[in-house]
Amino acid sequence: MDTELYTTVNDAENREWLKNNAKIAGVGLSPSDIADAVAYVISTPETVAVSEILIRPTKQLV
Amino acid sequence: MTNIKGKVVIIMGASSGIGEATTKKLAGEGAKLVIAARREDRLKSLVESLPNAEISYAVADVTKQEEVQAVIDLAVKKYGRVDVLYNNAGVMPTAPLSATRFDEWRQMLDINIMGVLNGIAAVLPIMKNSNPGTLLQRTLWQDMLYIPVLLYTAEPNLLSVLSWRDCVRKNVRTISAAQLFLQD
Repeated sequence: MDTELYTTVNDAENREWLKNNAKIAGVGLSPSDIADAVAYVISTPETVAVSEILIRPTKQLV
Repeated sequence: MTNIKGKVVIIMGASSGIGEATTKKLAGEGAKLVIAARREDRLKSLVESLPNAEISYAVADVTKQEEVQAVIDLAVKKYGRVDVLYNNAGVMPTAPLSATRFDEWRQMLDINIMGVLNGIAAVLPIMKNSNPGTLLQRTLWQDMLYIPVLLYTAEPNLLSVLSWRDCVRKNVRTISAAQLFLQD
């Protein structure tokens, strides 16, 4: 995720890995990718409940 | 997305990243927003960047029950109800288990688990008295009926996620036993 979440990682190796990968297309996701999904969930009618959404960058294996 | 217009949405952890992006997205769709985080300067500039939106901010640390309650109270005072609570605030201080960072483990439990529960506890009385509400969590959507299950499974879930990478590297075998909950 290309967010500030990496700043909560104090382990130097993990922190750098997260920071660098987040900006690579297809390896990281942008915050707006998730915001779009949140908007979809909120937009559904009251008769619909979304249990979970799994979102991953294209190059990440499931 | 016409169903978003007019909905009262509270976003925790809104000062950057996903919270900030969601604030902008929902403001554009006409939601009524209350956003919260610890950094007031970031919240203030985000609100100022959305002059056409119905939006207020409150400074809150999700680990502080009374501060989370104040955010919910602000939304009720302004809009009379809460339709959606997005528990988005969180930290991810990953490190090898063998580094035994107790302070970080406690911080994760306090922010990622107690922070979410503080939000749910504050908003449930409001949601029960108004239209059906929606609770959104960072990594899972949690219906209020399943809170006891959430608490019960938090520990094994946390352990299985935390341990696999670290332990596999060190040839330590880990086994997670999953338990099924059958409904009567």
